Amino acid sequence: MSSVWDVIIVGAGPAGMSAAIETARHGLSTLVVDRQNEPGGQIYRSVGSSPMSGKLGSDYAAGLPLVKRFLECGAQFEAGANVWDIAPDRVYYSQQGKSRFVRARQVLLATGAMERPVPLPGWTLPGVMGSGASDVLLKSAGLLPEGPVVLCGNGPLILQAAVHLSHFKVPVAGVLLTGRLGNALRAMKHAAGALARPGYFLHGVSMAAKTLLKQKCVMGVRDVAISENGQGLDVSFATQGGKRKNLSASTVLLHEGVISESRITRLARLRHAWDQTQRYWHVDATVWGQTSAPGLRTAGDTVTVRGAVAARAEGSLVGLDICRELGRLPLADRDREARPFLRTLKRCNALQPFLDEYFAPTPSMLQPHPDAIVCRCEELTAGDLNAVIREGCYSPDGLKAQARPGMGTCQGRICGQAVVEMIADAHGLPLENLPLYTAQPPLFPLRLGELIEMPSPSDLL
Amino acid sequence: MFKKVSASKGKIVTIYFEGQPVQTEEGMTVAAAVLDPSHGWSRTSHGGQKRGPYCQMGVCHECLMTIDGIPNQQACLTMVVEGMQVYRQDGAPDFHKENSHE
Ligand code: FES
Repeated sequence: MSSVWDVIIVGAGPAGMSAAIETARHGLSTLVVDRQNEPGGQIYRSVGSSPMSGKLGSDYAAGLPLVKRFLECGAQFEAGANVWDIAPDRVYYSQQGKSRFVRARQVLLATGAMERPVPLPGWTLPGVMGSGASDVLLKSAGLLPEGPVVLCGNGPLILQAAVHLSHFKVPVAGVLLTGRLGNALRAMKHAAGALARPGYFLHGVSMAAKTLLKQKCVMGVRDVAISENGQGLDVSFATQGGKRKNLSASTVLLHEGVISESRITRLARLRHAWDQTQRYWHVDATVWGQTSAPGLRTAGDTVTVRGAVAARAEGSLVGLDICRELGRLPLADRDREARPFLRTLKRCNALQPFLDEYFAPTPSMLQPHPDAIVCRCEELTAGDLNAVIREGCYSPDGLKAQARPGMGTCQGRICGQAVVEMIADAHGLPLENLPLYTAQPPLFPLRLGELIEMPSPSDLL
Repeated sequence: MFKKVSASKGKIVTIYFEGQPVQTEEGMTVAAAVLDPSHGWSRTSHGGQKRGPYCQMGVCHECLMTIDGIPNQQACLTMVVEGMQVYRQDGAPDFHKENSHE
């Protein structure tokens, strides 16, 4: 395999695949690397091989033709490839225990998003997982929890999970919604935008209606704590009226929205922006995916979480602009070909403020109970960390140095955002002044031997 | 704890979890394949708490297991292979016991 490419794309989700289709179509040598075994990303996870293809609705099925086109577009696809560092024009990755680096004229980071980790007591117990994790198991392995399940959180994906569970007749003990009751009112000022995608909007309304009618839903839930009770799990929570209640479950699925996975873009020291409504850091980029570093691009949920339809349009736009930059597409042609994608993106952008406001995270949920483990790797509770923060620690990196959160194998992916919220709250600091932990290579645990054995491409010697 | 809601598509393979054979199919991740026999836990923390796969997509590192003698493997990103030996990871990995992957 060549070690120098026109384009390297990190991530074979909707954005990465769409970009590759454009660059390969215009004759650019394109390498796409992804950690998963198959293209699709999380939203179209395993759609090419899933036992569930055709059973999870049209949004999921829409991934199948895209995956097909991608696999036939002429781009080289490397599966199970874990990118652990990037430098200008260079991407380092590990695959089956061996590392190598490849170079490119343009690099596109399309690594997507993750569920926002919101620490609460007992969330580290086996049987508790992200609702996204359950979704992955369903898509890739045809597995669902036997139930009873308690769903807890806020966001459109929790409604979707509830609909899937009831479709497959999994007993649901309750759906605990942690959103603020006032969010609906605040979202109304963006209602006109919601109608830019009437189909999507109505789909959401019908999911909500189904969930509310079929499941035992509790709104405005607070102070959630999970414990073991011998047979399974016990979920204790406070209702809006302040009453404490309990539910028993064998599986608890948590979800507090989706945020950009920004480790790789932070590692590249790109300029980032703070999303005030949804409260997360994301890389800053133009509609053509241009970041603050020339040659380094981004697309999809990495830039802003807007879902698969927007990610596909963005990926295509970035792909087209890479073709222009590398001399394969005159500006006028790029603009002409970009038109339908820009229209799609415009509709997605019009809807997004409504969703962001409606499903805005509840600030009190983001301040963990003192007993909650915040850093799962180093087993540090909010109480441990708050003691250090209040003594006079004003930044996530400072806290990392003083108390070790973010030093474990996940390298702060799980506790990073929580720690930012805690420091901001303790000292009354604006969140936009608090960057996440500084990202360091390697992005994933790597054997030292693998580093030593890494070959240098002969053309660099 | 988890049930199949759809018929399998892949070829049946046997892997070994803590020495016990587990029937699974090609195309499954190790984390998904051992979810039931492991009762949902994959490792213990430094302090000895049981932990299980949390994200199933490579973010949380709660699924770290010893796979074919190599510790610290993310089970949710590793695909099953016939005859694979999977062990829970107890606290921090013991590198002295690490077998060579060659
Ligand atoms: S389950 Fe989270 S990294 Fe594997």
